[in-house]
Amino acid sequence: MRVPQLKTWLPLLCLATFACASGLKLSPDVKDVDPDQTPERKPSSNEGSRIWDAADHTFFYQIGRLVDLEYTGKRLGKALGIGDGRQADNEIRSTRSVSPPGIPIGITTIP
Amino acid sequence: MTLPELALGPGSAAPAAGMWEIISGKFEGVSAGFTIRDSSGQKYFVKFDSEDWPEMATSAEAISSRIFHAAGYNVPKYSVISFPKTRVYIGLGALIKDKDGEKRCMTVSDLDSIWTKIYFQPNGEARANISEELPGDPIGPFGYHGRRVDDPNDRVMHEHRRELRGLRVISSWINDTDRRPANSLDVFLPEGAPVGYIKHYLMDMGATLGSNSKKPHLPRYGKEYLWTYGNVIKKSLLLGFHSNPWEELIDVTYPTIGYFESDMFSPGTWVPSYPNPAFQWCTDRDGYWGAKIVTAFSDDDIEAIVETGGLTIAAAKAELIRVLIERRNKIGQYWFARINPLDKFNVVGNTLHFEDLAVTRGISAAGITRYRYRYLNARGQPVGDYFKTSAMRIPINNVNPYEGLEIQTERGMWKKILRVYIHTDNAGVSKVVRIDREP
Repeated sequence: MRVPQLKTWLPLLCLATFACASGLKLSPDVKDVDPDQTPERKPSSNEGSRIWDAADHTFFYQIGRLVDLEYTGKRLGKALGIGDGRQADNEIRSTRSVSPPGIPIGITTIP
Repeated sequence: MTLPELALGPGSAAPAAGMWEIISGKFEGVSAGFTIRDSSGQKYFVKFDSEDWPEMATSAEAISSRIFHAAGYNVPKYSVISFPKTRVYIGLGALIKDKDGEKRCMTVSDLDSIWTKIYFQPNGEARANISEELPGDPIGPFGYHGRRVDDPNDRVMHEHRRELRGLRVISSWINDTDRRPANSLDVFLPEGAPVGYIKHYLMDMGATLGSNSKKPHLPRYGKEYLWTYGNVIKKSLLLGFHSNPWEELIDVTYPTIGYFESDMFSPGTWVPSYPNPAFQWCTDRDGYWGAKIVTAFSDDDIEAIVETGGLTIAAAKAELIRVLIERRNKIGQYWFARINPLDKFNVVGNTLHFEDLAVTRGISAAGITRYRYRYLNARGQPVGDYFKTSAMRIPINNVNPYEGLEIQTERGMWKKILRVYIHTDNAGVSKVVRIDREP
């Protein structure tokens, strides 16, 4: 790679890595509503496969995860101590309606 | 839950008296079994212990299903039963898979073949684990990543669901190494036809505790995946000279409980046999969530649940209880060190009360535990010096509508920060509105 190209790509790569690693939002807010039992029509039936489970989880999902910037970046960020892992979406009870602007909004976990 | 409730679990699978019609062979899994219909028309799935490992798989399924139920997961009703061979007969149209995987009608010799592989009690009766058919329409397994796109209620990616990520901790406790989609089931419950909702079940706990269904677990189960890239590379480069402690041959002391140990158990590195995406996403907070559930089981709770496994050798039963208690404590020690385990916050008057789960659940001694706290201003920043206490209560001011506290726990050294925010309404009633745990 020529030096001028490197000068362009390297800062962009560093910026993208830092953005992912530091937990800057690349994905929507956490979901804090989980209706779960709202009446719906019957979904179609799907057949499971033990062989597919094993292959998917061992190979395909792992390869997909490596190219997932969110996963790889946050793992890197956690290792470097500048970010945190991707938190779970549900089981998070939002108390934002009573939080004053002064209190920083982050992940709120009321066990 | 009371001890009888824990032991009952989701309920007992109890077929009606009379003859049982075999309506099908067993198409999934490795253990021998078949499907029956009792005289009332209820369908049950019957699984047996292998001849060489009596009581092992049947007791594991009964015990682990009750643990999952108590932890809040949906599981079928499982019970350990025994019955004479003469109680079953092959129904017309009962199908079985032959060696080539082709389905054909079940014959007497097929049934005899099952009888030759399974364990019979000294009284001549076949010991089995029986589970009742779930109510509703089965619509297949659920996955541990992605979501079911044709289910409008399924809005959260499964790998980001707290109850699936935190399941890793509960599975690690009971060495549930086969926790994958094939061992789950979604059932559609038509509440008001044609609409209803889907209920998600964990299934098949025959490969838990010391059992791997037909044989005991190998020591490596729970320590590494069946296929581990790093291990393959390491062993190749070192020409096989490197070996892990769990690769040694083992002796099984009690065949009825298989291989289940606590010495090499490591809660932080435990893995199932195949990678589980939700388990791989498990964060310290998810682990803490799971550890709170696991450590909530008291010694008496564990004993009451193990009793339902129908283990006939008292020493084996005692050993299983001991290992479960030790693994539970290890889980508490590991996860409660990664997240400050102060919990159950409650404001009474001008005092914030809390529980240190590590202390109240017997993981750490109260004598070596201290807490320090300081107050936060309206912007969430600490003000003033730390105050120290060894009591699980802290005075609050109740002056400002919002108040914040930063608390740390010391057991040898000051560890993870926890922030608590309290709101006091116009009537002067205070309540905890937010808790931030430093991961």
